[in-house]
Amino acid sequence: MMSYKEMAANVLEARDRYEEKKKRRKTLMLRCIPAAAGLCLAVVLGAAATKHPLTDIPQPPDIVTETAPVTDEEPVTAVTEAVTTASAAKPGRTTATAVSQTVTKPEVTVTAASDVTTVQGSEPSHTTAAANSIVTEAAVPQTLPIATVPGKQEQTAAVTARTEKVSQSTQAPATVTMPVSPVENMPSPVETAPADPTENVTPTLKEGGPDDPYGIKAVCRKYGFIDIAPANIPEGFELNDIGYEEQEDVNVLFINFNRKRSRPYGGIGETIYLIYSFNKKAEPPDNWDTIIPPPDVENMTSTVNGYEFRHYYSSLDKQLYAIYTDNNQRFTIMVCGSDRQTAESIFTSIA
Amino acid sequence: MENGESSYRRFLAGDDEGMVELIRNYKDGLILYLCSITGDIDSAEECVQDTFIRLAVKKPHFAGRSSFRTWLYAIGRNMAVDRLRSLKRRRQTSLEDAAEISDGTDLERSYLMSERKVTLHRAMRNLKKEYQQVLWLTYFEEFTAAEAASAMGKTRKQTENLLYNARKALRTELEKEGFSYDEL
Repeated sequence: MMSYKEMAANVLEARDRYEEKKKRRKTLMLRCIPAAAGLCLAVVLGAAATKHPLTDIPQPPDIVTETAPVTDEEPVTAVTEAVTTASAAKPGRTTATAVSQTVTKPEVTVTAASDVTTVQGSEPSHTTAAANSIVTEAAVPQTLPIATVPGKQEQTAAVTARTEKVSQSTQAPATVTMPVSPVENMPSPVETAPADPTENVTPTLKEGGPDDPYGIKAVCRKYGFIDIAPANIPEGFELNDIGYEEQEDVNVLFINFNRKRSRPYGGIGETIYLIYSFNKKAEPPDNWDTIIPPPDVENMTSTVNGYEFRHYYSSLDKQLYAIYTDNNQRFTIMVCGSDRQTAESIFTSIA
Repeated sequence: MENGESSYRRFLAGDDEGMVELIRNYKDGLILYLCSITGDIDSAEECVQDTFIRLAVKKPHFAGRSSFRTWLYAIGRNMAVDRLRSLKRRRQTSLEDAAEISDGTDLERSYLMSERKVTLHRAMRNLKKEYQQVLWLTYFEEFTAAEAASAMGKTRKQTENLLYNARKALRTELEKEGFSYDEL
């Protein structure tokens, strides 16, 4: 049994040892903390530099452009090639998706041209057995997103005039007649087209008028297109831009309507494209009935503003394709990225 | 101000004599109290030393909500309980290897200084540990019920009930040895 003095000595000795240890620990911390802080800072800076190097400057996304060879001599072959390529990408179907993607940059008219080819040329080339594509005219595959719509072949008997279908649209069909006949007064795009091959020509509302709220008609007239424009655009969509492109045998006007996007790049369903293409050297097809649309729709004929369009809608591609031909000229309207009812209502509202 | 509190404040101010005074005044009573927890006097002595080392090293703040002695005994009790827990986790030491354990008879006599109290204290050894604690604090350290509750970490009501049962048990134990409880 310890006396109180012995216990007191033990207690004070333990206290002294603790104080000494505490003092050494404090000195060590005062030396280590700055070094540790510097080390942590170096690690953080190194990690930041590794993840975001100063030399890594983000570049604007490249737009895919690809031009298909233009061959006037063998339009059929060209068509086949183009269609084959398209078939390889998406056999038997129009690639409205490609078109949609392209049109975001209206001045760039070509997307994955392997998927989309313009069938334009001196000879009408129609469906080819190999590709089962729909060809509306001689294929001069160019770098235009407006193109033949490869699809399955169908009997022409399946093609029936569906003017009543159009008239049954919930939207009032466009019945405004043009002051001039389409044949006589179809302007020549060669004569009035500007020299600049591609440009953004988005009009302001000021340029339009009561009958041209988007100013599209004014742009059409400016560039030699038939000055018709849809009066009906679905709610929420706004005119985004209009681009014009002039090529050797075709002039193209892209009209892009977008719904307000919640995502930075939107989606197909939120954009409606109107693509006016004017083939300067197009010839009427030998057999209009051989134009075979995709199997889910039937060819329809609608008279829109005095112009008789052959058109169909592909639910797979979410695209309405309408064409008017007059001898060597063709006027094509494509409504992309919307459902059938919306597409038809837009198309028929063109006035 | 209690002597223990003043000694402790002097020690906190830097006077080591204050700690010496604390140890001198409270060592024996604390050993005997903790003996009722640990079960042997040597463990109790080590616990007491650890208690004073804790005061010297950690320098806990004495708020003054109870007497210094109550506060000190509570710290000592916690140390003893922690020691018991750690001993349970250790291996059992064989009796041959164990050092000789004193029975604390000398301490008992020197601290209690009364044969009557010594008899009572010895009789308490046969009781439950909680009974021993409450009886020691109440009878020998003259703690009030509130102070004993604070030192034991119980409520006052619990302590009073415990004390009642402890007295009954002590009465029985004393009668076994031929003593009359009333005489004590």
